[in-house]
Amino acid sequence: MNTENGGRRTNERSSRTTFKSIALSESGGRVVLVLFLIVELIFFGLKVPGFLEVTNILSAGRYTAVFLVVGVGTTFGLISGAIDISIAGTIALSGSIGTQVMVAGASPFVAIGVSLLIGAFVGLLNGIVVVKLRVNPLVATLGMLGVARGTAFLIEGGGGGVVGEMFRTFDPIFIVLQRDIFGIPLPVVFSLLVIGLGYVLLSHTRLGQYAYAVGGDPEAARAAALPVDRLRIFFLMLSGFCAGIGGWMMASMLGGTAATIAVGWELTIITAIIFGGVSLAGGIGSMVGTFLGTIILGFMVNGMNLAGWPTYHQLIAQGSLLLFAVGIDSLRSGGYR
Amino acid sequence: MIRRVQEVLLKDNTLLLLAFILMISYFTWELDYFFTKVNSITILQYSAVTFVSGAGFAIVLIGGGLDLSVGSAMMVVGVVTGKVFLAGLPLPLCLVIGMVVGITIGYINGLLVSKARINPLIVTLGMMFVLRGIGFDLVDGRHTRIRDDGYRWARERIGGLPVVVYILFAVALLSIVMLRYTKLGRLIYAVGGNPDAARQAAINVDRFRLGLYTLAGLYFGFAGIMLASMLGAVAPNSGTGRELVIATAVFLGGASLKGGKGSVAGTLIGVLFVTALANGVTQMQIIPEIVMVLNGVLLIAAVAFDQRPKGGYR
Repeated sequence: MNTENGGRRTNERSSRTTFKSIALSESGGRVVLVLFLIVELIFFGLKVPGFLEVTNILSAGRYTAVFLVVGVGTTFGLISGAIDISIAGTIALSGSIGTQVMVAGASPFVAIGVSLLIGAFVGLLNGIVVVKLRVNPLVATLGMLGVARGTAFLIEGGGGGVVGEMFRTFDPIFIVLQRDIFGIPLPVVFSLLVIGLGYVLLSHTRLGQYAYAVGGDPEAARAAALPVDRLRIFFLMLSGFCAGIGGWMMASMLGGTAATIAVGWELTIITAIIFGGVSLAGGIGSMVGTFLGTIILGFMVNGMNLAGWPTYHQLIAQGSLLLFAVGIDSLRSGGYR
Repeated sequence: MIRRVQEVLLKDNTLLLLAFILMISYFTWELDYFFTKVNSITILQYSAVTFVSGAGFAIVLIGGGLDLSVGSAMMVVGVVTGKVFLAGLPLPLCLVIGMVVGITIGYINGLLVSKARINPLIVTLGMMFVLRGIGFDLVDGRHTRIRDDGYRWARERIGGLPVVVYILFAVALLSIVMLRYTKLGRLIYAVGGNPDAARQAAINVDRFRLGLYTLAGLYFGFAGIMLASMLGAVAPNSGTGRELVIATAVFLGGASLKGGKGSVAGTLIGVLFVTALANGVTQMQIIPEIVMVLNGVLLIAAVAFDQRPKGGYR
């Protein structure tokens, strides 16, 4: 009875997918996103003096860069069918540990390496919990969000972090992201490289195809002899790994981070990705969409900051945008039953 | 044989009760103050708010939904209640207004899930942030103490026991009766367990879900006015992180993301478990954030344990 039910649901889903891909072509969605971006730029451009100046766009780019890099991993996770809301905790944990390693006097390469490995390790734990213990990814990563951030606090011994204080004593390689290259902040360049790599991986390699296959129809992927479980673990690891890079980026840009950074960023990053057309149901989405969605969110956060909107207004705006984006996704795909 | 043992252990929260007793024994062994009358009452007192909100959370889960906005909803209810009280309205009216706010929030969640057909996870995740923003906005992010004995009714004691402890048991009793012995309760289990079958049986699932989230809003509203009164303050940060504790307690108590499973009695044990754990760990004077880590691990463990024998997430 169970299998019968499952089979039927799978059929329904794949027919919906085809319907959706015909009804809403990717290029159509992108035009909407670009239009939205233009409207947003005009809106804030009129409202906030200096918003459209090069210096501001570059400074907006610094933070958007972190969202982009972390978002690349989260996009792979979501397309492979696993939402990862532990990313903000992972950013805090890997940034804190990287900072502590740096403070302890290790080589900057070791500190950076440790940050990235911590990220991948959290992702691996997520993957094992989801695949081996069969816990729904939402709950698994919600729990991991608490575990990661709590551990970051524990490592700091409950005291404050070292934000900014270590600015000068840190090795220039660790804080390399404070530099510019030809006038462009290095984080921006770095994030463009990462998302470019993400694009190639997702759209032009077999690995990308596997992500779509596993997320779109896991039963069919199993039938096609794909190692679904191992792929799931891998994509969640990739998600954690990118969050680990994000942790190092924050530590590098700020000259050290504390356990309290990146609170609520999971909302911003996941909103951006879903706004960019990645479906919560898995199997649908693109790196170009993630790029556009993240730029839109990044400028929105920057514009609201400059306009002097309090943080809590930004929470309302972002939460509403998430509901709006998912509402559209639901209307397109028939929605939650 | 192992299956059989597993079944017995899983039945009626046997395992959770065993773990609870073990934990209590450990803390009693380690801490002189833990197993005293005063501390037991403290644990019950702190369990009350978590339990009332947890019961609402459990009912939504049993009915096949999910409401992550619970913490923010309680906070907004508390903030509004405190604000209208400070504006000079009589206390009973303030409490009613708080409840109405809770019910309205639940109704909006229900509309978004049943009419806009958005996945409840995202609806309530979005609402969690929207509500947190609104709560902060209402008081410009300021924490204001309210030094009024009337407003702090939840701190009163009757016959040596705090009022909220009576409320805890009253809500538990009413909810258990509602879920077990009324048509509504059976409907919640039936639709939550299998919405497709419910549709075939000509049950209006959309209307059911709207009602389900509104009912949860009622619980969250009640928990919110209790919380505000316990704190004796307008506290816009009082809801943050609460969803993790509540979800942990409810999943420990045997509820499942798949719906149709769980009980209010289990939720009560789960709530006592996490509250006693936080109480004991705090007394051991370890860094308080370890409670956050433990709750995260427990949440994962609870869901893993629940889903394992039946296949779980694919």
